[in-house]
Amino acid sequence: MSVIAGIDLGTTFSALAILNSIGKPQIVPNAEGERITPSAVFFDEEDTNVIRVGIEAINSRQLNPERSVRWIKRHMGDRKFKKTIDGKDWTPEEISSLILKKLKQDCSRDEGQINDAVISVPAHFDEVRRKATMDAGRMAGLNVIGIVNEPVAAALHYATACEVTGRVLVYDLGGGTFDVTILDVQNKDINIVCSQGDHALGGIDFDQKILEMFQKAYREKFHAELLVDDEAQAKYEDEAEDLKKTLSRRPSAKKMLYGQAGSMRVEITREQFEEAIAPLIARADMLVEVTLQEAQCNPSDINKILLVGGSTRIPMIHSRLEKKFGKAPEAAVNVDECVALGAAIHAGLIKLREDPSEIDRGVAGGLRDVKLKDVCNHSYGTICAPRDEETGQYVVQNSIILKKNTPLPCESTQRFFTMVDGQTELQVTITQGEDTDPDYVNKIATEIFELPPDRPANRPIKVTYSYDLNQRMHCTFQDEESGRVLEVNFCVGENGEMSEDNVAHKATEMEGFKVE
Amino acid sequence: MLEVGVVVVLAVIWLVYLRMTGSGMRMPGRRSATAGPVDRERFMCKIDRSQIEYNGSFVPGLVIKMRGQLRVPHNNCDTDVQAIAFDVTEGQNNAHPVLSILPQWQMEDSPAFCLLAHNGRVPRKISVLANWVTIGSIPCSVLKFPRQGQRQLKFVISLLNRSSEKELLSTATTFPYDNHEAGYIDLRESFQKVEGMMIQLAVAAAMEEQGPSDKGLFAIREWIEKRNQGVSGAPDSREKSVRLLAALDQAVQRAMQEDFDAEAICRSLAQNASIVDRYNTIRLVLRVVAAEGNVDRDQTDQLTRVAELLKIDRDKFRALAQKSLPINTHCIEDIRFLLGITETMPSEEIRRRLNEEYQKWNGRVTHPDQEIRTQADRMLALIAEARNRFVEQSWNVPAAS
Ligand SMILES: Nc1ncnc2c1ncn2[C@@H]1O[C@H](COP(=O)(O)OP(=O)(O)OP(=O)(O)O)[C@@H](O)[C@H]1O
Ligand SMILES: [Mg+2]
Repeated sequence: MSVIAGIDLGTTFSALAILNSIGKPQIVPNAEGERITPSAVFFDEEDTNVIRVGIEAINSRQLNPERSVRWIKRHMGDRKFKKTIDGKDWTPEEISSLILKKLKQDCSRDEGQINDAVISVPAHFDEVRRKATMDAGRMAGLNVIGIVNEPVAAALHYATACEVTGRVLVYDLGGGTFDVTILDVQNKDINIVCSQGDHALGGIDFDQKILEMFQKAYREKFHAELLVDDEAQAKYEDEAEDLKKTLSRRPSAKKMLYGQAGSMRVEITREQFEEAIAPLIARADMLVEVTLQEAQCNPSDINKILLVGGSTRIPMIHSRLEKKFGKAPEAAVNVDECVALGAAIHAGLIKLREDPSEIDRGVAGGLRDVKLKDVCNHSYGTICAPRDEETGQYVVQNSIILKKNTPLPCESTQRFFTMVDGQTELQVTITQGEDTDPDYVNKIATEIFELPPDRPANRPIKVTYSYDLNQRMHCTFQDEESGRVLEVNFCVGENGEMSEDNVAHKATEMEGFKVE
Repeated sequence: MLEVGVVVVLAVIWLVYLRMTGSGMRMPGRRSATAGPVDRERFMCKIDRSQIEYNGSFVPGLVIKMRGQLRVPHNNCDTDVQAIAFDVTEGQNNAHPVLSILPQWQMEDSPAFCLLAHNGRVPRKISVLANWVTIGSIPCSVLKFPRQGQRQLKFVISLLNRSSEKELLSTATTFPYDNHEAGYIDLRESFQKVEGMMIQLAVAAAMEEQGPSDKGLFAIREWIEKRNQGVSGAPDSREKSVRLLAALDQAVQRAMQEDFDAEAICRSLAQNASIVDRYNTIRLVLRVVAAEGNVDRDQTDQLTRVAELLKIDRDKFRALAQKSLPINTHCIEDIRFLLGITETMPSEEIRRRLNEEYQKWNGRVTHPDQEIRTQADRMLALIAEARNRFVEQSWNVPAAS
């Protein structure tokens, strides 16, 4: 039997789900019997043959924080980031692949080898981060057949597990990231309307605020620092998270602080916590407003608010949403698991579309009615030099061709003109980003388009971008007069630094590391 | 297209010329029976003002004509005819060239007006054009004069030997002309005045208690250098740089001696500077302020006021300010300035503005450039803080219809 899996590779926790024989997703518990696994890695000093992942890594962390890694997702795709352990530089992809390897390994104990997998990413992840996530999966020995946006995965699970109709807002506040997605659901027909995300807003930022309160209290009492070293930092990060969770249940919580200058008890009330995180909540509020605006709808147009992610357990989040929308948000599905479950469904849908013969009949039957219409995650454009209406000067500018949140598959064409007489070359740049100022967009490809000689300026060039269901982008630049065409194709994130060969080579290298 | 027009004019001249040689041509020595008040034997020119056809429509133009005796070194001498023009309003000794904006009516090495046309072979050593022959028609809008108002123009028409390019004959005519547009000297003077004001304003922005700051002055000098690079190689490049540096010295002296009125300068710039230079002004001022690193509330208030007076679009100004004063390298006391919000703005408008800013910067946090990522992160934190501080906390926004 072929095992199809969905993996939620979270900032703080990860989870894996597979499709059962009737096409229903189910979480596969890890070797420790837990349904979610902390996204933490610890390189054991005593036993360098084994790398600890999950709860073991969390437990060992306070002993030697230097050799532990958490929240690696925040560094995904960052080429400059590395963690050096015993002389080896670990990239974010490699560290993530260790987490994925552990999930894969634990799953195979009970369910057999995973054939195909989909990994979820925050909706706002750009091409580079998506590609890095895919690479991490491949390095872990997974056949990654696709990437799905976390809120889309959550919605897929929600719509298939519950009877839902209407416009839904998915509020996904996890450990490290925050996404808001608006979608229309009609039974198992799911149309994504739009998504917006904040890459630096999540549970760990709330923890940080509590940590600051600890430090302040300690400083006030002892005029000394609480966090004198990495160990203390690691310890009190954990204590802060613990206290935060308690505050979700109780109006106040206490902790002992054992510093070098003395010990003290600190009490933090829910009110104080809420005041401390107010700027972060303001940021979350803005993201909701901006998403509503993008979907061109009012709060009253939203029929259901679906909560996803561990941080939505904070009571203040509920009350604010209820105030804004005039109805209580729902945690209709398990907030920790729904992303992995939805990712498994997404994997099944891809399989059904691309290799229907390879999928078991029971599984196919279970997925038959599920229809998903996704949207383009980013805006894509090109650099051009139109005349500024106000000043009359030519200004170099990014012109968006394919707009973010256009339903997939999509295609869009714009016409540009050559600038000077006798222009024989056109530098074409493909950009990703919303800005018109070219300094602020991500230039993901640059090519030279050769044009026929001896022509005056103002020759029309037709530029067409298209984006298919498999998240593949295709660009053509056509010189209308001569019919000459330049084509640029690339898969999600293939502009990443790592070539396919490289990934295969890395995968072999990673096989040598044992995880536990 | 335009070049084709000139060829047509030449063909007409030649046709007229042929006709003259056949019938109306008079031999020298004999007096014309119909000689009027004009001496038909003298080589002369005139300029008629009339509507001429240009690019498919009729526009006011100058029609350049010649007639009279042509003396050439030998029979069948191939010739060119040339017309150049001066503004002699301030006297023959103080003549200024008339310029053309189109290259086909310019001198080889300068924009001064010059019409050069093939006149064809003059059949005999001495021939006479009995009737006025049109050399060319020039739309008035193509010509640029030194100053606005009543001008005295002088056109000089020459017959050139085509092979040696030597001048064989020449004649001139002077006539009054009313120029409605600002002249190029007017423009240069007002442009120089504008540049002086830009520098004065920049010096004002660089002022500290003891005088202008070194960093600020350095930024202005850099700007002067850069402004000159645009025309590098041009003959006035050095002269311009000397002039701008002198303007800077003057501005510094003025700023040290008197309390000059920066607002008045802004108002004058708003009136006299081109829109491009108004933007250049605000860029320069921002640059000077940015050179310091720390920006206090007074400075940001002034910047806002300057932008307002210069009639700079508010959104564009904000974008310029955010770019010139990156939050990750500059300490800005009043964050509202960077976010484009003001004390008097209603909460709802602040909310909308901050949302716009949030959306903009949120799209930049994944930029490949670390500097921009850091800037974006700082801006988002700033925006969140502003929202928390300046927007009413109740999220109880009434559901719009
Ligand atoms: N009861 C609670 N109250 C407050 N926060 C909680 C509670 N339970 C869990 N959290 C927080 O939820 C976060 C983990 O949520 P989740 O597992 O959804 O995130 P993730 O998937 O790891 O991260 P992301 O989706 O952002 O990559 C942690 O920061 C954790 O502290
Ligand atoms: Mg998550």
